[in-house]
Amino acid sequence: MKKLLISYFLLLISLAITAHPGIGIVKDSKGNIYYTDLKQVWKISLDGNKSAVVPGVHTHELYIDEQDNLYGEHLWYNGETKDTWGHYTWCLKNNGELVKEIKPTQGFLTNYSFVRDSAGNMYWVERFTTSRIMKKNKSGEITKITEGKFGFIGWLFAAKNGTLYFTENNKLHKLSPDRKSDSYRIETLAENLGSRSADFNVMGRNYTSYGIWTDAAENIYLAMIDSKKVIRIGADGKPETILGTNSLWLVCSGIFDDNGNLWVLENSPTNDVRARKISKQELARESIVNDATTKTHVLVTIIAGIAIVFLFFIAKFILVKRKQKLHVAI
Amino acid sequence: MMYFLSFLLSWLCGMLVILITAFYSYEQFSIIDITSFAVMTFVSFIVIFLVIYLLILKKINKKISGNKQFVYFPLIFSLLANLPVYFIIWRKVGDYYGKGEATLFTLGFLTSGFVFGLFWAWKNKMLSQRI
Repeated sequence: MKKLLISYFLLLISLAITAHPGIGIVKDSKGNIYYTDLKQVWKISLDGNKSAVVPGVHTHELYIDEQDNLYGEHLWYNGETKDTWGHYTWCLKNNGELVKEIKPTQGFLTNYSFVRDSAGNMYWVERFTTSRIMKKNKSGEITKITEGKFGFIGWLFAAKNGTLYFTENNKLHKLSPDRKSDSYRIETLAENLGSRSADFNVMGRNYTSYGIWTDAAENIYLAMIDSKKVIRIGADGKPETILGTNSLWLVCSGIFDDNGNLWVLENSPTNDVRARKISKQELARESIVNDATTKTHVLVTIIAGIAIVFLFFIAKFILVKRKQKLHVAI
Repeated sequence: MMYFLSFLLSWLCGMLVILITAFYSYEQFSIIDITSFAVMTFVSFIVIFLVIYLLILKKINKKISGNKQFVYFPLIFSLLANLPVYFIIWRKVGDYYGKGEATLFTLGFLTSGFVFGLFWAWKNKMLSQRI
């Protein structure tokens, strides 16, 4: 849970919605932001203008390469009679040309991913009883990076150097490539990501953490979807809240632009999507808000304590009066 | 008046325990969290107060007397009378809230029931004592 009132409101207005928000938000080398709203892909230019650059595509993820070619997919359902899915992948070239990379195909995307490092290697998760994290290099060779009986693995994130980050239930793991051999080293960066809420169900799973991203200093950020906040994982593995919101919009993912401003991808209860810019200054103010939240908590607790003592004395006073009345009556 | 006071005092004690426990189990307990817990526990407590507590109180007030009330009243209200609430709380875990919230709700109601029982035992003792 967390905000029960809000969650009930959410439930009321989104009963029929199967929530599975996207995490696709990327930036090109010029600083333009691209994001998916699951219906099309939007571009926010440096001057703030917003335009749909890839219309009519249902893609949860996006990838942009160093030449500013934008990649995504289109996934669709063929209706209850057929009960099948179809997909194709597309690329919006840096010259504005939109091409289909993988032609329309039945089923879901396999052996392909939008989680890529700067060398163009793709990474994806195969979620089974024994889950695997797979890699496909540019020449098309597929290798298994790691496998194990993990809990539910959330979205995968690849840093430019090929370091992978993923959440498993309430933990954050890092997979670092060993440059000498082809192996990867798994390391648990955080054991307790902090959210104890679980009112946000995504396809039957209780999600706490959602999108993962990093900043220029390689700090790790996580969108805690159901506690409506963004946390930063420090070197000690301790989560620190850097952004919290009380609105109905849920933070699903984010990215830092070249000026250090944070762009968050947010999803509404009615499945509207927006990209919101939080300036460096606003982020700094967030820590002040967090302090204020703690102070409010302390203050309310003290007031509750005082009210209890006050009520107890009222009760005692009334009882003494009543006893005196009884005594007089006797 | 005593019913109203016992209701308010019990609910507030439950809320206080929730607030204190939240310092240890929540990274941030915002005003929305506080309001949510306050409204939810208040509404639920009104319901069980009217439907269960008053009925049980009427029965056990006659059956249990003396200092035994200080033992049995808190136990009956915190454990027995709250059983339907505990059942509902833990049944809905994962749907509307997580285990952490369920634990807080349970602790809140446990405390409210305990204080309610203790309050009526104390009230009965106060009135039975000679000046």
